[in-house]
Amino acid sequence: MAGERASVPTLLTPFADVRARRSAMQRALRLLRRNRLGLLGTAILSTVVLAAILAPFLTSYDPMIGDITKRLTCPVLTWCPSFMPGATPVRGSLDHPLGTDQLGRDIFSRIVYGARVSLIVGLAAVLLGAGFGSTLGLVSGYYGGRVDALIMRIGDVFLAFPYLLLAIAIVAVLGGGLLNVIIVLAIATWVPYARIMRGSVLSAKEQEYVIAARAIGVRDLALLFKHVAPNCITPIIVFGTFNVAAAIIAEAGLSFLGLGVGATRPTWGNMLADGRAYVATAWWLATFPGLAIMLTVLSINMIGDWLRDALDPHLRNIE
Amino acid sequence: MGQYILRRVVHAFFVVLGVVTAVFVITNLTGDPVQLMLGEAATAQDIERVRRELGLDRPLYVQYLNFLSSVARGDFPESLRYRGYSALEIVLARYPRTIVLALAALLVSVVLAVVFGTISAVKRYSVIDNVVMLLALFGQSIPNFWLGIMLILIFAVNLGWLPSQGYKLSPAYLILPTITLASPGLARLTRLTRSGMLEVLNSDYIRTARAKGLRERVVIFRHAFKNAAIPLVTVIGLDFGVLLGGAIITEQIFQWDGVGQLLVNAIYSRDFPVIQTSVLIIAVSFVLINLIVDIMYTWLDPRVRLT
Repeated sequence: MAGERASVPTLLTPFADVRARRSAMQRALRLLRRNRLGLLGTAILSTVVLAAILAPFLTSYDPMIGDITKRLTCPVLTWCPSFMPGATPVRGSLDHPLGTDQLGRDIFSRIVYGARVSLIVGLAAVLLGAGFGSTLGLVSGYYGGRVDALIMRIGDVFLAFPYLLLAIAIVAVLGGGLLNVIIVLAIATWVPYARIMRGSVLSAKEQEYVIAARAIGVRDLALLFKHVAPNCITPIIVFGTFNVAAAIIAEAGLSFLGLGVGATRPTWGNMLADGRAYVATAWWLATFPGLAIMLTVLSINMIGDWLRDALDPHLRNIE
Repeated sequence: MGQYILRRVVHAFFVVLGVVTAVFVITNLTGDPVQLMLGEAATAQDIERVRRELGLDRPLYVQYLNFLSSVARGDFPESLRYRGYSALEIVLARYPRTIVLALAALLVSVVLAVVFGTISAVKRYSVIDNVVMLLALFGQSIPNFWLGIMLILIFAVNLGWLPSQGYKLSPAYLILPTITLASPGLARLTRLTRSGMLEVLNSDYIRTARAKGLRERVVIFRHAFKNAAIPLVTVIGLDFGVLLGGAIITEQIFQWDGVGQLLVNAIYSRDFPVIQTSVLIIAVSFVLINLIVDIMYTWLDPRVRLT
């Protein structure tokens, strides 16, 4: 009898695990260990962040100053025609592992310094846009009525502009520069955050804990930021993560058009614009910065997928 | 149903009004665009003359009302770069080229996304599913302007199969820009089709259809696909905006002579009337497309009519 009883719990053991209460963070970390793509994304992004921080230690070349005698040197392990008349083809060397551009600037050092611009713009634009948008969404959903209608109608107008078009239009008037690009990308993206937050607030408003908090006399602002907002933050985090990737691509796009942070900083978008101009003679100019953007964006998207699966059980069931 | 459509039309009208206002606000952000328009070399008299010509010496609300009425009458200012032509004429002359490119990209991304997404959902967790999803993840992460340059590098520079740039209404000139413009939307739509199909395939009425003994093909195409397509229609409407925005960069890469390239060149040459008009035309057409999508909804999803 005792033997039989002992065999039963082995069937139930997995359920005991599920029943145990775990915090969302623990659950997320646990899922990360199981989600190999999420792990890979975290590893790639950490490498990019480290490279951006440690840029001065990774390369001795100034990303903005070139050696014109070494212009368009090809990457290591490849051959390219010399640009000096009558000379034989030259071979790339480890001096410039990814080659040099049309002004003789080292591509590798431009990429690691360029990572700084991309990461700063991506993160700052999203923090600003998400902060602004979710605050408006919180107010809109909580107070309802005319305030809600006004904010949402303004949002409709913003959504009527394609993302990049709005950014281009504002930059065209205000001019480029690091700060302007961040502000412009934030302005172009606040609406979805407002909508997500508003939706969450509308459903949270009817929850018992909010009614209870109001009943014991918690004031509006405290109720909004201490009780309602933290419970609506999950979809914002997930959307924000994907949005960092989108902002990095948008910044590169603006820089590519010459409407970005300007030519005084090395950015991946500027490098791509040079690469487009030299596509027929020097393939490496466009190839490597593009790979850098792709790897960074890919890693952020992988992390976003993982966060969504880990934090939002409903979506996990569908996907 | 008529009431629903009327409501959408009224809403769209106010959004268009808002768009016109936003364009006015954006172009007045700097206060006085004349200095920007004429550049550093302009004399004080020049600036004064242009200010008077454009009505910029009058109070802001008068300028706003004038702007509204001229937009309503279709009376747009003259381009500063192409003298003698109104900005609207210039924009509308280029617009069909952008539409052709955007429609081609939309067609490619929708058709391929539906095919791959459905296969992926039906053969869930198979090798095909994994490959499609991995490609979609890459497709979403590749900046399409880089993809465009790489396509030029491979198919124009190295293989010499296709022209690297230029506008001509022939498939050869259309192929590379279309792939470039379609790629991000294709990846996104594929993932959405897959998750939409998965959700529908798990539902009760599909189980019933299968239990009735219907063939799997009928279940998937007659029963499941119709419902899975509903959310896709919304996304396609929204994607068209992404396409119009993306076209700005794609046109620049391939020197495709559409509104996007016109806009960018107008920014370089400070041709404010053309900047204003092209932004306005693109945004307004985006609103109209979403209005059409909304109306299509009433036909696709009867539940919408009731709410």
